[in-house]
Amino acid sequence: MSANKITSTRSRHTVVIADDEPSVRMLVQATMEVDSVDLIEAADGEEAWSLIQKHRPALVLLDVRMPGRTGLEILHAIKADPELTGTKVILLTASAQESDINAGLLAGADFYLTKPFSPRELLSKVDEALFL
Amino acid sequence: MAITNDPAYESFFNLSVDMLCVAGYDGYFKRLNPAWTNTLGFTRAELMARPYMDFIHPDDRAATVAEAEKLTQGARVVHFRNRYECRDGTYRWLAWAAMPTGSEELIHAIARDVTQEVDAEIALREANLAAATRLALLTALIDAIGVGVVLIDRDLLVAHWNKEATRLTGIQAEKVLGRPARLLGEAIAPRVEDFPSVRSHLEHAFSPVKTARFQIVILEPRHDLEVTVSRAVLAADGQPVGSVIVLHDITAAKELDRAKDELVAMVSHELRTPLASLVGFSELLLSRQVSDAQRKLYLETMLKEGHRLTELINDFLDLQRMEGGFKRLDLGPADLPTLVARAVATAGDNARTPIEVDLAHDLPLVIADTNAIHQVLINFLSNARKYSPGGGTIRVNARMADNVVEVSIQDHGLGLPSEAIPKLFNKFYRVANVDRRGISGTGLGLAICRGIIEAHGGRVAAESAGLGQGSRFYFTLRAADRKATAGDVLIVEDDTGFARLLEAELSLRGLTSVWASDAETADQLIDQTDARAVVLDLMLPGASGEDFLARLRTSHNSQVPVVVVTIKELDATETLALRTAGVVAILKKHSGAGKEAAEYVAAALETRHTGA
Repeated sequence: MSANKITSTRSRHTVVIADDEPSVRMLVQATMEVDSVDLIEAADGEEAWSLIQKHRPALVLLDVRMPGRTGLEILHAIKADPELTGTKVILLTASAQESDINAGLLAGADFYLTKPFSPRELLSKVDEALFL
Repeated sequence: MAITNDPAYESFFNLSVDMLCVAGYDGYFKRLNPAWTNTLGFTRAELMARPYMDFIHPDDRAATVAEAEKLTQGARVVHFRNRYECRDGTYRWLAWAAMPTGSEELIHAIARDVTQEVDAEIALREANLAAATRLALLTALIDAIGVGVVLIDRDLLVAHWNKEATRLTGIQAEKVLGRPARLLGEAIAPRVEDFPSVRSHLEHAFSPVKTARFQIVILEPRHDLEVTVSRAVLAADGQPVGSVIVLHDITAAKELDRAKDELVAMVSHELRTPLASLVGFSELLLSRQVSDAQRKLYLETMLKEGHRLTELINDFLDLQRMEGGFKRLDLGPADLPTLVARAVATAGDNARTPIEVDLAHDLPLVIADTNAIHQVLINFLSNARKYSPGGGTIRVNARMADNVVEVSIQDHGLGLPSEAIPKLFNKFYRVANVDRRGISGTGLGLAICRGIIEAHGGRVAAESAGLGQGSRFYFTLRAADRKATAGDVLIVEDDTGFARLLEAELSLRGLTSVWASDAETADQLIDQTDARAVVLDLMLPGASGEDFLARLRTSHNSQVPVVVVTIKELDATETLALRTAGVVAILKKHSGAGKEAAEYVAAALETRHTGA
């Protein structure tokens, strides 16, 4: 886990990225460097859930297939927790299976992105989730 | 006898359509009415001329004698039946009522022709037997057939529940036989998945539609069933007489479907993850001003992920070839210590995870495709290193065990949780735990190893005392027996294709061969086989062809003819050295070299033979 603080004039948001792939976490971090967020990284489901409970982030980027708890399980846990009603969720899925995507949207994910995704697209989804 | 003269009696006697008679204890008819002639066709005179027993069916005579005996003792006879012969040779069934007259030693009797009734009875009995036989055969068929069959009769009661239906549903026949079909839902409810939909299917199944088909899932043990309900109707008038429920076990097909879906999802997932880095970082590089350090980091990541993608596709294709049986193994005798040494050399030195090799001294040659076994050893060695982030010695052992050679690779790394061990060799399976984070892999390496070892007829397995306790992977290979090491010609050649070509050319000339893919294996083989000639490549993976030739002539003290086939450019000194060592021909490796080499070998053996 590493917090990456960037100074900005805009109000700062905490964002958790949960993905077991270091290269994907690195890509998300590189993409978001220009944005005014505190990015916290989690490398598996268990770590993600404990960081989410601790930091109550404004946004969580969730990989669907992760060791420990899956992204969908964490999504359910977020939706079931009254203290996390303000937390937005973007699913990052590498399976592109319609069933996964439907399950994610049904469970209350705000957006989903299919890997590979465009950093520009990720940024616009993050902005939409945080500022709309 | 007084009544015989009574005219009224006389007219009744003659009028009766039943057959009336008076017979004597002596066995002859005394009087007969015309009904006898009408029924049997014999005249009264003919019937009275012989003992009546003559007219009775031979099979019925004993019974008739017994009845006549009863009469002489004063008893009456009723409901007795026997067969009488007719003039045309056929028999008629007669039913008798008779009584003795006592003092006059005569029998008064009435017989009635019941042939039609008896024939009808026999036909009915035969029809019943045929029906029972058919039913028994159908029941045996229903029980023997590999699908679950349930019969529902016209009153909607369960009439039959075969053994397969019990096996598939776990419901015993006694629980449902003779009970209303609508209660089947109740019986099946506790052991079926998604009961509400099953109930609604069952409710519609017996309505007067033609055929209903639906799938259900029985739990513990899980069975996927396809249920077909069809109606039975009478052929004559189309009247419904019941329903047939057929339960088809589609568990295996469903399992295959699930496995295929899972594989597609896995492959898609595994391909998309490295692509995410390639696409993402290249877009960042194109769209943003980045520092030199960032550019370097991004490009390095892209390169790494690109390699990973390549590795994944290669592994996956390897596995597909293996599973589809397309990858042909080139099996031959091989020297295991050489294979291990080569793999260890490829794996390279690493101070944190040194590799120690300890092989039994008396190892026999094994039967192996050396390239494939090299791949297996490399895979196990690199896994051992990869999953030993804290370092630790890696040990390679080999020993003889029950006619096979067991090779094991032991590390002191992360170890394996016991629940992971059975799944370890499955495609895309990767052990998930915190210590392994960041250790990348395709999840296909062990599946490939298993494919290779099983194609060799060997066994592969893993064991570990648990997390943090290190792991031991081992596999077995068959030892090369006498048959596998016999041949007229020893081919020492690491190019599999050329070795096979040479083998075929020698075989055309009536020569058998044995193939060694390196000099070390050849060294061992030369003592074991009765090879009378050698075809030798010079550039070999370990020791060179020249080294082998020198040992052949000195330590093995063998003077067999040697033909050299090589791509190596030889200078005058090298050529001379070979000639001095008694090489009969030096050939440049090209498409016709196999044929040429075989001709030289055949000629050399011929010369020696005639010369000797």
